[in-house]
Amino acid sequence: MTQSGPYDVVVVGGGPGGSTTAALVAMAGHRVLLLEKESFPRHQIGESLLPATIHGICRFLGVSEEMEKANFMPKRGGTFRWGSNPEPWNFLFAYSPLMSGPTSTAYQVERMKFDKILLDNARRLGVDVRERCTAVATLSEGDRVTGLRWTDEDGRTHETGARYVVDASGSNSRLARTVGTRNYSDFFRNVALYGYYEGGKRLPGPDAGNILCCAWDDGWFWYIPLTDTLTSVGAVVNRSQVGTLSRDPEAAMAQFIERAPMIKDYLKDATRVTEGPYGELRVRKDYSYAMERFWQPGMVLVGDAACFVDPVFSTGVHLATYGGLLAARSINSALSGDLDEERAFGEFERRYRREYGVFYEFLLAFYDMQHNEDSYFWQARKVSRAEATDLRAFVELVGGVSSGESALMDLDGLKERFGTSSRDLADAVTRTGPAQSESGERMGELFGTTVVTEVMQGMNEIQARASLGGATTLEQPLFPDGLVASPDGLGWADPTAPTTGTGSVAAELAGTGTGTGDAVGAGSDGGGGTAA
Amino acid sequence: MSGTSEPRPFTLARLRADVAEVLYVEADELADDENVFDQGMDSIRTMTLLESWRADGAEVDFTQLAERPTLSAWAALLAPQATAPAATQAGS
Repeated sequence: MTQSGPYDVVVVGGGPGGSTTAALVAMAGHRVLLLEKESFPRHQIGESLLPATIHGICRFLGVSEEMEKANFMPKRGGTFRWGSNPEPWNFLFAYSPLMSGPTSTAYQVERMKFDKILLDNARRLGVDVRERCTAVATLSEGDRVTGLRWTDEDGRTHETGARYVVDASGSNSRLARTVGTRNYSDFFRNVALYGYYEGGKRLPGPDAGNILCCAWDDGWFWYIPLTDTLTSVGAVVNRSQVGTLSRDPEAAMAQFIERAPMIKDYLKDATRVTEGPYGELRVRKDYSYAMERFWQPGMVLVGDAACFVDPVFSTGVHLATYGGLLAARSINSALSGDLDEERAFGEFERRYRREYGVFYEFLLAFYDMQHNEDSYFWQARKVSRAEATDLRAFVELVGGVSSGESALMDLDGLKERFGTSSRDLADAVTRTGPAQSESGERMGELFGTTVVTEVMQGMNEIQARASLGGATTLEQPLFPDGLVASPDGLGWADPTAPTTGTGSVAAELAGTGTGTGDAVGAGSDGGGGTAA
Repeated sequence: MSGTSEPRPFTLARLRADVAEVLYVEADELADDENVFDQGMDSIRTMTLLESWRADGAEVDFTQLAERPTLSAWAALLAPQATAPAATQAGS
């Protein structure tokens, strides 16, 4: 057994969450070891990104130029054959055609390429990246994690001490158990069967790069144009079908496509890729879950190791990279001694759970839009049928163990709130109208709903900071005694502490009472939320 | 960004200076009657300005700014007697 180091931080996992955390900790001058079990590039799912990842995180990480060079498929939003309107409708990132610009698009990415860009960037920033290395177990003293036992590509075992271990090793993480147990949502226990096709159709005009999501009787399809000819196609169905999918994926896929007319039409002249990294049909459990805690002394969870909502709205990479940003801020603040650990990581956990919670609620409303009386899949995802156990699960997922409110939360009130969110969203979709119509290009109705405004808040904040190169008026403490980002964005700062002449507008405005949720104009005035 | 404690009036010159600052250009490079989004503005920048203007007492929402995105229209909207010029704009 060999002693390696010395490092301040060990990151497990080289996906977007791990790379982001490692890079931002290294940017603050700390020594970071990152262990990745595979050798990059490697296949991964979760290919449709949101603008905040591109124009917020990627820009902050300094990879904007590489992202442009990679020629990823630009997407201006999502197109949905979903809900009561039989015609597809658009959720675009730009508020209106008048306001669409470079920052109102995101990309569809081949994760083999995207993840490698981020990992190579971490390396460039000084992170000691080692591939084909496997985490074995955390080392601890009492309640505190003090390092990691791991094996290298030759099978040699190492023990590395560190002030913090970051678990960003994904949904199959074994290390995360150190921190606590995983709570599952009964609402989103989805399973996806997916593969890749050459020669599939494209949506018309400017929507050609959009993700297309199509609801059908027993689930929904994603249809993601990765290049002009290559498309990622996935069927999301109920977990009860996992046996059928695994036994004969070919037959299951053929049957699902047959039952989803729009997907069938789009794949009419397409052939499935059968060789190379895209050559197989894969099954993935897309259960929604959150760990009861996201950190413990000496250890923090990021990305799918911490939580996962659902594949429907491209949230996976966003939550991972956003969680990575939050974790890095807390680690940097604790390592520098600027904040005590409890306060620094408390802010990480509250903000991360808030982000998880707003997406969860948005997606509850989203699933609720699709009506199908005869379908077990859709009936099981109706807000009106949510039972006390589902509601309690939500409170647990979003509150974690740290929330004192859990026991007090009124379940009937919660159900009513979900019902209202759902009706508001459905009404906004109706008023927006079909894609390719004049109203269908204008997102004021959708951005005006509370659920969308809430979802946009955190994303707008990071995107504004990256575009403007510093703190902006959109950055507010999210909680009464909460913290704001430090002037360089790599740590946290106490907004009530005497200012040190750093010029942070956020800190100056913190006392003016612009409350949470109001910061971007929530409510009937509309237009508050926008990702562009 | 505007973070001053002394609210300044929302003159066309101030709005031009504020917009120029978030676009990293000189104020005289901006045209008052051209769409600010054609001059490099985006909605994130608009929102950050909106927040600072609100902190200075502006009573305006994002939709209003979005519907008529020129400096002169915004000046009319934010002027103390906004009703008359704004109504003219809306009718055009």
